[in-house]
Amino acid sequence: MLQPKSYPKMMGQALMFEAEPFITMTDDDNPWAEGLFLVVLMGVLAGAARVVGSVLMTASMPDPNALLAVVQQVLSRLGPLVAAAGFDPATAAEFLGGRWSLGARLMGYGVGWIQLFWLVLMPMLLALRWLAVGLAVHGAAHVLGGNGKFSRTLGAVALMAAPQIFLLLHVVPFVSVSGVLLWVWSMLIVYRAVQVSHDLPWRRAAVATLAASALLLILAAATGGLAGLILAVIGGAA
Amino acid sequence: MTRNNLIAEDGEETLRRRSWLKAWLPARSRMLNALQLRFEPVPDADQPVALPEESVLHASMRQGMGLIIAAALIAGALPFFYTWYTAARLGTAAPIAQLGQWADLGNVPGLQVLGVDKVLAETAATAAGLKPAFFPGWLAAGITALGQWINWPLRWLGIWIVYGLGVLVIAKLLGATTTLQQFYTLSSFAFLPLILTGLGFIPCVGIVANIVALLWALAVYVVAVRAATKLSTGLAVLATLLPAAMAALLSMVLAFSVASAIVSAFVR
Repeated sequence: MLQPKSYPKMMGQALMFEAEPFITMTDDDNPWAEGLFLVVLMGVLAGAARVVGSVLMTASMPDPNALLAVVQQVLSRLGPLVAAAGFDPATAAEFLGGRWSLGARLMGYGVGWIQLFWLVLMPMLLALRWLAVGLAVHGAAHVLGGNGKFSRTLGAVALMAAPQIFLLLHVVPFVSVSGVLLWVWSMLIVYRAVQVSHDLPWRRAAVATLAASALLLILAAATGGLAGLILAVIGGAA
Repeated sequence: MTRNNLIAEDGEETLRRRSWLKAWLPARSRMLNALQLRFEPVPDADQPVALPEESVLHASMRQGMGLIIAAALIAGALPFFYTWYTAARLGTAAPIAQLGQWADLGNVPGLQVLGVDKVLAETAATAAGLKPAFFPGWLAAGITALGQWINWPLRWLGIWIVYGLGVLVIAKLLGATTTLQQFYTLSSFAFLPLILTGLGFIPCVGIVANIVALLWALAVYVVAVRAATKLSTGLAVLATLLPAAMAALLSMVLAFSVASAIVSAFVR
């Protein structure tokens, strides 16, 4: 088992696509456990940064209700335009008022226990993504002639959590970390992980990573659609 | 100056700071070489060539990343202080203070036609007058302006990694031979001229600074791509510009789709 104090160095090297951290992870006596710990730790830290950031944001911004009043005022004054777009201005203002508080808190604006939700959600999301990517990329690599073991692949692929280190900057309000940047950097790290853990040439490693990415994007879109449907149903019921 | 002299003169701490800086930033001579478009082609692994000490090829990817972060923070420093100052004067958070600038929307002809110019301008002015919930105005302004400052390196890193991947894929399709590390190390030097974009918020000077910065950065990027990939200049230009052209085309298609959806909603 590795020491967590070695994680910053390993993640720094993974961000630079160096082979060493991937070799260290695959050679570990328990790569998947090591990977799980690394991913969950990153998730907890990112969630904690978001919680602190949301407290600072709430303290720095005007009262959310005051801002809602301004937005509702705009909606009422733009009534004819809103009606021309096919919405009833009064219903639109009421709809917004009903969801403002929850929406604002989910975005880190407003104080409430719901902020702590991020402490649980972030590690869960990162761990799920790690498992899904690990599984998809391992399958694709094997089809393309890779010879790595699943546990070793999971260990190496766990380093895809390294770019999430930028999420720690969420501790400062209005810091915006691009999801595309995190995704692309993570996938480049996965490419290196596959290359090292399965001893594949670059073309095959790239194809395995692309196949896994495409599969996960489709899964994410389907999950997003399902979540939207559930929210719409809940919203309709409310 | 020898290592021992350095310790004796400045102490161990100075030496550590210098070696830390050396690990995270390319040498000044290499940065100057890059700004003057002096990139030697990457030698073949089986035919090693002795390169001069100031060659950009001696830089590492970590130094490239450090260079981008440092350059972006320098570029964003003036806008940060300006944003902090203007928001602190209004006693509110930076994004809310920036809403006040939307009050000028009253002069936009398109909005006048739609009849929303005055509403938007007045709303922006009202929102700009809202005070922070807990923090004093100067602190709220500072913290939120800091967030916007930190976004500078994050945006540049995004361009470096995401756009760079597009260029690298096209270069590979055109027959390039390079590695991720080599490519990203050399392309990082293109962000050095972008420091000039920090002057972008100054009227008149800003436009000139932005144009010079973009053209200079583009030139450095093309030369860096040529050196890293060993492609001809023409192919390096093609590899550099093609992802931008494709992104522009995609944006136009998306914008057209959104615009037609809005128009059809109003017609209905």
